[in-house]
Amino acid sequence: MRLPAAWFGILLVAAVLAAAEFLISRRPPLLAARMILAAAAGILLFRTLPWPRIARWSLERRALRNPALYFLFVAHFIRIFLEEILSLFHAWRLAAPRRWRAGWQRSLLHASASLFPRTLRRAERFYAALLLKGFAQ
Amino acid sequence: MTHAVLVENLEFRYGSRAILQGVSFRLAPGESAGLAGPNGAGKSTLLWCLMGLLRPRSGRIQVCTPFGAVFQNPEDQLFMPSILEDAALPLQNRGAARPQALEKAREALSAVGLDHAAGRPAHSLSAGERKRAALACALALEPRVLLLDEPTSELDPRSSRLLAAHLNRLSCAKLIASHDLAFLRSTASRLLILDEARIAADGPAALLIEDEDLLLRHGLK
Repeated sequence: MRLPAAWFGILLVAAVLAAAEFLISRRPPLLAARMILAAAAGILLFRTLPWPRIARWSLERRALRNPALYFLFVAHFIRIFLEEILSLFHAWRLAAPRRWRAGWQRSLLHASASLFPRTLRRAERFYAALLLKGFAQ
Repeated sequence: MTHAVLVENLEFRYGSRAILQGVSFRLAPGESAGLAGPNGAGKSTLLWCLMGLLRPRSGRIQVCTPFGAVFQNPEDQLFMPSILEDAALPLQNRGAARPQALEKAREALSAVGLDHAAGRPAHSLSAGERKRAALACALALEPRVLLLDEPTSELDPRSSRLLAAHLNRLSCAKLIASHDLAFLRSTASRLLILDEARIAADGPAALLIEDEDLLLRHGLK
């Protein structure tokens, strides 16, 4: 069975945490284990719960409408952020395909830095759309 | 109000750089005008000023309300679990009850041929369908003015023709910013050419689009 790509990042961070925990306090890697458990629970919830149905159900209830809208805005913004990361790193990998050669790190640094203005522009357009839809008026 | 849009001596700057300078024009109710110009001419800035999203340095703007807008990237406008909810949201925010808002949203989606996709989220639609969904969101408000920014970007010729047909059926005033002169010829009776921060030409679309020298001079050919 192939491990989902997201797990490589999670395991890498957990390994660094475990090493730091061991080096600093000489104790078993509890923090890293907790982090892996929390990530697994989060991924399980994200994959199994019917989010669109829950959102629709919440929007129909007056008391839950605002929290549901808030959740939808955050989810939309996360999608924007992930889209920008994906398109940016696809472009970067095409432009700098050979790892560890001259300019590789520098181009990665510039690509990562350009993520912020790109996301800011998308966020600005999203905010403009919210204004036009009658929010914050 | 005898006009749907009034712009007088509009000036907008980013720092010391003038993006719009001395821009003036009027749109009559029901009139459809195209806004063409090279990249960086200020078309999107002008539309954002008309929407009230950017504050000009000086000048006067009047836009009849309610007005609808379609952005160049409609996915930034569509974020609800379904496009039906997206179209109903601005109505609910303006005080309409949910059943009435959903009914109007359904009518708007049906007007742009998207009734079959009402329950789907925007990210599962094609680029052409997303543009039409954003148009439906604007139409649900029954706008008197419709502002469209590059409506044919990312669209194939068939989707462009479909969008033009939907726009031509609408009776509200329209200002359509685009590089696509064929699309503007089929949807607008008047054309404004914006170049170097000013209105360089304003006249019947069919006439201006035939003027090759004018188009070459302003980077449209």
